[in-house]
Amino acid sequence: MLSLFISAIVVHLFCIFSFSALLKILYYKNFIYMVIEYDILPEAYSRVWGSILPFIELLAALLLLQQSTLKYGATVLLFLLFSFVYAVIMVLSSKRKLTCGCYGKLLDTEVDTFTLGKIIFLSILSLMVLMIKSTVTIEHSFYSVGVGIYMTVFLLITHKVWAIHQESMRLLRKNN
Amino acid sequence: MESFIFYSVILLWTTQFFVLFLLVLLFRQFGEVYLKSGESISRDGIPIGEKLPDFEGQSYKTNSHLEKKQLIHRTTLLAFVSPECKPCQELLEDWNEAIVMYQEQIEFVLIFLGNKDRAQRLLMKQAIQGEIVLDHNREITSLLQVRITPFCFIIDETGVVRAKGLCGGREHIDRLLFETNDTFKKGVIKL
Repeated sequence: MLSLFISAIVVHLFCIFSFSALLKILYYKNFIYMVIEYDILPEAYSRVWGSILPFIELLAALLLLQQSTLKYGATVLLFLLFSFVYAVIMVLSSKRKLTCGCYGKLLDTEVDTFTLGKIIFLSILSLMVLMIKSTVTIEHSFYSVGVGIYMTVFLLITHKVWAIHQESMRLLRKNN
Repeated sequence: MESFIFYSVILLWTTQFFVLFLLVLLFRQFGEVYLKSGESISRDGIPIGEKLPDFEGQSYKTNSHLEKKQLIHRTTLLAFVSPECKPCQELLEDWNEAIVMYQEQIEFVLIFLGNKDRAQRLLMKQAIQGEIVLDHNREITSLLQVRITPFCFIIDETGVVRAKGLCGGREHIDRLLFETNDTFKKGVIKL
């Protein structure tokens, strides 16, 4: 049962991070600019970090596919996610309005508490993958792939719905 | 079969969480539309045409006990303000000016939500004319069904509500008075 569950989570993590990485690479220059806008590191370092981050993300996602490299992939993802949490907390505490840049330019979402919640959720999943015993065998099947993709699609839809809702609330408050 | 059932459960839980999430967003938007719109706020307060219930409070200036019959013996503007409210501060800036304009015809009473210390902090910036009543435990606010501040009532000498609404400054005070009777516009007050 555990191996079935972890299989679905691994597929979900692979889908979400590879999708995110590919979109960042697709809108490469724009993504680097977004990282600079976060203003966490000096501009030169932000530029370097923004340049390599999508590739690290893609590499981590690919490492998840093999049983032998699964834990390395989860470790890299956790490292990335902790850096995202730090960046989001810094932006939220400074009350700035920034585009998340989570999916390149595809989903125009802001850095807000939902983004933080999503990152924490993905961190928990990555931690679960990291902490499984080596005796647990990950078996990818039609069902695990289907469920993983389903969870990914719902996560993306949820984020988009939240962005639309926030925009509606802004308009309602403006009219009130 | 077992794995099919297991994965079905995961799918169902995922869908369930998504639906719950949508419901939360829906209620949030519903609340914004129904409870916070200007139209909904105008539904607050004792309805127009109804008599104000009896209430009592402590005078901010004299510390004496005040009852409704002592406060309302002619046409009265009853305004509710609270300490953390920025529009309330804007109302207070226009309060004395409104009193000068209408004091011969209208009594001005301010109901302050909070204790004397909080009132002092808000009112220390300027001396406010008219009677100020402290509503320590929001009893008067609840009794008169006020939800948001600054909120005003126009009460006639019999204690009946003639107008009510949000009241963030001089123009709102004027509007409430004009709603009550067109003769306000001509400078002759008669309810």
